[in-house]
Amino acid sequence: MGVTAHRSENGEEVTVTVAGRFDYRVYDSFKASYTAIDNGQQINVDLSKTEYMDSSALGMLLMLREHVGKAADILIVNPTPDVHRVLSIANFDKLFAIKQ
Amino acid sequence: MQTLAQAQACCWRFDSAELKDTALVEKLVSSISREFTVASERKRDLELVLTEVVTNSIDHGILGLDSTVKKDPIGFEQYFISRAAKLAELTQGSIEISVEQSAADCIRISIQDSGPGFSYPTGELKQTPENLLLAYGRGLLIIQKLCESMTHIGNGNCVVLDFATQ
Repeated sequence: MGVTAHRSENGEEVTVTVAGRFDYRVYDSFKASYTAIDNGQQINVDLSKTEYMDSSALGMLLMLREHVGKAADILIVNPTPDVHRVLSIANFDKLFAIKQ
Repeated sequence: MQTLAQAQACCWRFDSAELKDTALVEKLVSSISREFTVASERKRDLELVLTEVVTNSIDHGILGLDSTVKKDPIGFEQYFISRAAKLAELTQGSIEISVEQSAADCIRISIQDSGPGFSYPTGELKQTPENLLLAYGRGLLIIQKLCESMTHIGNGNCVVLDFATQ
């Protein structure tokens, strides 16, 4: 459960995985997961283990986008059906690349 | 959390200390599920809807965050930081939630906060490119999508939702 960050062996990609709940309670660990990301790295946000997500999580995804600016690409990976529905309601498919 | 018995309705009141409890909504969903029949596949949606509506009442009704944001648009990180700071300092304010059976498979949920009111958008909400990046408003979209109806009454500090329980 919680947020983990994993750097690929070649150092080009960072995968942030949110397992369980994605809401206010993981704010600190979500923020900590991306602060060490370097310019130009690909960021994958793995939501395949996310059971619950609300608008605070949408805000945190926008916070990540705000943080990296144009310096990195963000890809949302394998959102669960419940999570994908929340992303769709908020039209986040227009803001982020989503890979199923 | 105080349960107040009313004829055919259940009412819960949360004071400023309880509004800081991150598990408030989970406890509320359990309480509502004890009093009303909610299909298990609808409980996650009920939790999501209540999270959004309680967050709106706290952020905009009680903490007055929307006026701050409108005056001086801030980033998301700043929004989260000022929310946490204001919530930690909160000593006044409360939210009352009442639930009644409005049809065989529907409950009516009324949420009233002690704040001065909030000017809610009227009509169908749309996510346009301009408001896609606003610091708030996504919660209302979620509520609108997952409820049968959403009505703001009074000066905007009371919202009434019809939620299908089956």
